[in-house]
Amino acid sequence: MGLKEKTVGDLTEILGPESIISDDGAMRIADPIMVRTYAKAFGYVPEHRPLCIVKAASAEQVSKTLRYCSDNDIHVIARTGASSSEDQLLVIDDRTIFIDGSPMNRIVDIDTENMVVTAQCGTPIAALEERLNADGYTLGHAPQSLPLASMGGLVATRSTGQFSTYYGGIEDLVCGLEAVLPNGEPIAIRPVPRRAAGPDLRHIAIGSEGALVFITEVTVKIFKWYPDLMWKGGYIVENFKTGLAAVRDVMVKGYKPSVVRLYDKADVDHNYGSVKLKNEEAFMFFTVEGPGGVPEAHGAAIHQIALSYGAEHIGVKAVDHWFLTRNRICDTIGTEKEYVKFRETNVYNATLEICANWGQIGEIYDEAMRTLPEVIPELVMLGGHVSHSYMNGTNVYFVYALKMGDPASAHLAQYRFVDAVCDVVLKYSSATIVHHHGVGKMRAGRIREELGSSFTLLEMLKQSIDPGNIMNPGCLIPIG
Amino acid sequence: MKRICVCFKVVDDFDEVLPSDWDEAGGDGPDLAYVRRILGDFDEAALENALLVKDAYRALGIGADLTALTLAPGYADHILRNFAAVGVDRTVCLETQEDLRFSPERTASALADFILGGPPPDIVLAGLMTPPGGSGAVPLFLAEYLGLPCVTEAISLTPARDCVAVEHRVDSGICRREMLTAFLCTIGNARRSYLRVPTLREALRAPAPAIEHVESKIAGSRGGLKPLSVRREDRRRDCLFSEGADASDHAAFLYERVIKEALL
Repeated sequence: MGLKEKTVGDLTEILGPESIISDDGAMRIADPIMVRTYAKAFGYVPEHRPLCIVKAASAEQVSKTLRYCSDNDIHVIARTGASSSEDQLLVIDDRTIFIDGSPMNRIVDIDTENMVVTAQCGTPIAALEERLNADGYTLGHAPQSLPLASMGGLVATRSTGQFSTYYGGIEDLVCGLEAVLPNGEPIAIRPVPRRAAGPDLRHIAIGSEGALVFITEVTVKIFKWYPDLMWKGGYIVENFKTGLAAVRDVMVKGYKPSVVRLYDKADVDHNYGSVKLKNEEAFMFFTVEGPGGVPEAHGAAIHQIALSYGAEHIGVKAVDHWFLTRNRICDTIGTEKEYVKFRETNVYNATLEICANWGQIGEIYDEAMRTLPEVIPELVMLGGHVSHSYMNGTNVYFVYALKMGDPASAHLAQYRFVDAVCDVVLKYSSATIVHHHGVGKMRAGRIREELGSSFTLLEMLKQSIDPGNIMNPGCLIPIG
Repeated sequence: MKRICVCFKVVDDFDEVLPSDWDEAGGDGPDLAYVRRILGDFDEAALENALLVKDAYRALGIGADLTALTLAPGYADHILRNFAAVGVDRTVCLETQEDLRFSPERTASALADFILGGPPPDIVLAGLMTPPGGSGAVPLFLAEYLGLPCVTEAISLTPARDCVAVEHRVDSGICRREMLTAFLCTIGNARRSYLRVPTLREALRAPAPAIEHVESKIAGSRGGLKPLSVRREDRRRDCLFSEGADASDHAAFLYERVIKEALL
């Protein structure tokens, strides 16, 4: 009996036939992940496919499955929303199963006294957000992937949302969680407002990318929602560097916008297009949320700061346009419409997010824009924007398009691009190669350089929690 | 040397208009100042098919010169700047302050004036139609003004030494005909619909994208042409909603209400 037949047979016996999907058609499309969809548009079948997908309906089922996999050296990839940008879901061998947490999609509790919501890992956050909005609350977490994203995946990839400058990233929102260890043991970190009982264990799960634990339930903060009071302002500035200086000024003076975005001209022209820019001009906009008085006060101050940098105020239409189109990419991912465009143009669009202190982010942007076209011949366009800012620095989202070659090896062009960006970023002491997509298998090769001497802690965590290396091998920590 | 001319239009992307602006739109339509400018869909296909024709001529050892011609494109530098890199030899923008919406005769007349002012083209391509105000009449008037036979709704063109094989849609299906040059062709739902994209290196290597802006004197229509008849195309679509509870219900509904009725 082959490994597939044995694994499917054993798991069917343990969990019941309704929990197992194993037909080859489903296995071929089990990892609908960004760059791999390009190859699929040409009919390319992945080299490695999962043995089966376990549709886990409870933490107990996850526990039983992991115990079986641990005992039988079967590798496990956790998924909920079934998408990933950094090859987290890529199957790299022939002894892997998916544990799909999407059936665990129940909102367990909405506690408006203590301002937290508890939801199972497969809960689509679009549905959760809609439910909260109906009662005047918000999660404060709205990634571009909102229509596709589920709670477990967002926590596992250390996600951030488009309103993060006010609400924080997912790590600022998670109060507690439940998870299952690779040996099948369930654990719970109780949600409390703050804890000083040793290192913060939440962070072993947050950003673990399925390489340490399987997250089954999450408790996150919620916020009062005041959409009608939002302040917005759109501006054209002389160039990207001037925009960076203005955004820094807003942040270090202590104002709290919810959205801060600054686009260079290439990005606007290629992807956004709602503002007509000249020469090296850049487009930036801000929103401020909060109860009455707050948006007006912060908005007025931000407006004055923008004008002090010579910005031209262009009103709110372009901002409203961003709200209208901000999740539109999710409408076409993996669709025939996208495939036709791939086949006719051979062009793949992608993004890569890095982060650095204010003192270095401008230099990194300049160096990347100068050097990447020289080292990546497949580049069709390269631009960038800022979308998540902090007191001490900000991110840059490189937006790029590549002309792909042979579909089967097309992903290598993206890997080369990612490597080239890492080469630039790792030269700077205050910079990180990844802001919020996670490391996946795409950036795992650079994690040692990223973490430096602290990489040993990550290795020790992996060895002690997952000694058999069954949890998403090659993700987060490279093999070998 | 073969001469190919493509007429195209740069338009506002109506998919990006805010719902509130649709609600408030007056007689001149919604506010479009902030929306993205894009190539008309059929015009993009026309440009790509013109490049394919140029490629095919080159493979036959025949030189081809491609001119891309547009009228009052507005903000379009981000679109036009890559034309030279993908193989367009000359990009010409006819400029005018006149409002030419809903004036297909005058639009065609301005295009014809420019084309007739230079060496005669062997092939003229244009998108089937481009909203807003897409009457689909501009290419037809243009063919008349240029004195060229017109093939409508082409989906592919395959040049040979002495003719061009054109596949185009007709009411009964797809017709293939061999055309002697010169002729005009409208491009419909073509086999290739997206314009090719150059790499940054190709764009840098290409000749500087000299975009010619030519003042166009828009006179009245060239006159003498009137449609023999005009009728409104029936574009109505019927819609049925399946209220079933599950996939089985929807399948049964589809079979009973759509498939069976169509078959019977």
